[in-house]
Amino acid sequence: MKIKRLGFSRRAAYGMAALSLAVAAVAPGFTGHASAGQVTSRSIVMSSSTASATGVTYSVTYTPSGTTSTAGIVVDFCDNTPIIGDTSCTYPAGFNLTTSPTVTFTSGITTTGWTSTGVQGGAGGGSFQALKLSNSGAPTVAGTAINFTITNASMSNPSTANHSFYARIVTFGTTANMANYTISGTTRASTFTGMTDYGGIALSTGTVINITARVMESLAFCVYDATCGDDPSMTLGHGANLVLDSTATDTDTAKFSISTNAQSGADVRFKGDTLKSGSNDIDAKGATAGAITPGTEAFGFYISTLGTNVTATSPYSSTASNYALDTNGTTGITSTYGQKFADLSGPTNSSVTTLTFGATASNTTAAGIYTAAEQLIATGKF
Amino acid sequence: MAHGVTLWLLRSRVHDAFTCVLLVSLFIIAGPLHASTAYGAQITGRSLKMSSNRPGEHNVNYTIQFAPGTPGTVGSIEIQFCGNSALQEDTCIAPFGLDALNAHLVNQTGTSGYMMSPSSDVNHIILTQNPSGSITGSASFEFDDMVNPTLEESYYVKILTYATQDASGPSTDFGALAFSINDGFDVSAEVPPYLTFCAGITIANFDCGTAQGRQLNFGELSSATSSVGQSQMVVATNAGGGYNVFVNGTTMMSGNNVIPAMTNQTSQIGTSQFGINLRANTVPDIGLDPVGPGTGNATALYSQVNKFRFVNNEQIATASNVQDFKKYTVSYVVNVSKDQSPGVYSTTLTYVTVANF
Repeated sequence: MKIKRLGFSRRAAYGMAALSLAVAAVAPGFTGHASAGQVTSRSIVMSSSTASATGVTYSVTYTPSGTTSTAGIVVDFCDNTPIIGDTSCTYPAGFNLTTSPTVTFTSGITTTGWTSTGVQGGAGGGSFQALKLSNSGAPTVAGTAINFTITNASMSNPSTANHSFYARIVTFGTTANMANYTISGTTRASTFTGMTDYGGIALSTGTVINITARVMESLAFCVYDATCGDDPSMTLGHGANLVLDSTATDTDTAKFSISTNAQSGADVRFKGDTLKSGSNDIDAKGATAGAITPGTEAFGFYISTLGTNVTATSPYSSTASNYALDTNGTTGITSTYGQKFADLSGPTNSSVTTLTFGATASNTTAAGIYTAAEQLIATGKF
Repeated sequence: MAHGVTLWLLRSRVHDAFTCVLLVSLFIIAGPLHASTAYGAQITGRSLKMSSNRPGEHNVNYTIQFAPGTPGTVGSIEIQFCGNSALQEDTCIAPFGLDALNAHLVNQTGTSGYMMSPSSDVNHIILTQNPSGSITGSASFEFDDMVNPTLEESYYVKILTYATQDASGPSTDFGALAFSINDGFDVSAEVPPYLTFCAGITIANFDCGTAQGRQLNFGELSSATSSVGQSQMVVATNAGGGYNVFVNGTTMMSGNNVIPAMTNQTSQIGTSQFGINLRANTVPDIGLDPVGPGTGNATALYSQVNKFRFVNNEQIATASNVQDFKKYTVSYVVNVSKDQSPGVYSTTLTYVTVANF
């Protein structure tokens, strides 16, 4: 009794831990055929260990004890013990092989000529506990691993989670001898005349582990000069006094980085105005991208470096020195929401884009300090 | 007894093998990624367009666009602005500084009839209508007078639709989005004041670097013919008030002897007179009209063809605003009568340009 209690508690513990297949050896305590041997390397791989899972597939593998003929294979699923010869084979609740599961042999034995039959055993109505495979050709096996799969859309696992159950495999040299493996409810014969090989396998259902990962919508946007966090404000000019005049087109850059998991990417818009000093201004380059010629008053920008997945949106250009600045009050940068100048095509991590601003004065550009407050606004499209 | 021993051995082997296989065959089956919490359909096409993303900005327009996952009747829409999470199950913490209390629904597309519920608060906007409205595709709602959060960070908007008209009970659909608050940047440029002015006998184009000569020699004056000459000036400035050019000096003199200055007379051979103008003249044939892109011009008294004048410190050219380059040609005419005292007559004229910044 003590021994039996220990064995049961271990099995229960293993059953709680196992989520898939388990194989157990069953030592012979049984005699039924003078040359019978134990199959080795036996296992049953379950396509799912979820309790009550349906449409499951069991992949049975074993290696016969030697070279012999195999005309019948019995796979009998028991809830209580895998021991061949134990007359009790209780029904694993919820288990169902179905009346004629599809069996497909893949290796170790001929793949044709097999007939499969589900046997109800101790299962309730409509459920089947055992499988009998017969092949009148009695194909020869040569001690190499045999594999076949058992499946059916209605084939189901036992209904108890984290529960061990067992399979008994018994093979016969003739189909007639396979009839000696009698199944009557949960009772089995203790000896099987004509048995070739045998072996027990343990299996277990598991518990589905539900893994939940919460990914929030994200949009990280930064406008900067050299590193995120610094001030990208700039003064356009040249010479010791950093002034703007008609002799040159003065430039400077600002960057923006964007990371988002928005599946449709993002729009990046420019809102602001051209350079102004009181009532005077420096002409915006306009809605047609082009070069800024020194001496021809203009202010604009182009995208000098496109970030990953970023494209320029017309009239803004990613061609070098192709400046634009559309101040149309309805559609341009001075409109309520500003003007889109860059498109991010999809989810992107750390895409860095560089804008180059350029300006020049003409001979008639009124003296003054010109400023423009600009904003880059990112809109994620989730 | 012997049978009992055999049974023990059998059980023992079963457990050994069972243990071994358990150790090597344990694996995890990942179940569905979502927990069992029931959610409605996901709202798609979600975006928030802002008229400004500056921290703490007032009077900002927000346009929120989305398409419900369950098209059809929508009793109410709840829009939550959150600083902590975009997840439906998380409590929404209002972004610091964000204020929707004074917001108004100013436009809606893709649907109609929704109004802001009085139960809206600082970071929750509830849209409702009775009877319930319908949204079958993408719809947008524009609010004005929003106040942005005050910190440069990322924030979230949760959008929930309800069958009820007061955003109570279980939501029908849910969706979230993220938006970013960023400070803007300034672009500045200083255009320094300038005044370009040069004078010479000749100046090529408008290039002051080519100005050459500063002395006119009329040779021997005669009562039988006019003595003429010309010089040039180039002026440009970005002074908003333009410029004025003055001439300083005296008429031609030789000791106490003077050739009288003209006051808009024509050239009269045999009459002692000295004058200038800034036009292309025909009698005598001297001078050029002002040229160049600038809009400045000679003053009226010095802009009459064939009429000459000279008054000390008088304005001879002017421009009223910023000026591109202009080149003026000054024509000089000297006539003498037969009784003009002999001598070497000369004068020094100084041209002064004043820019009006």
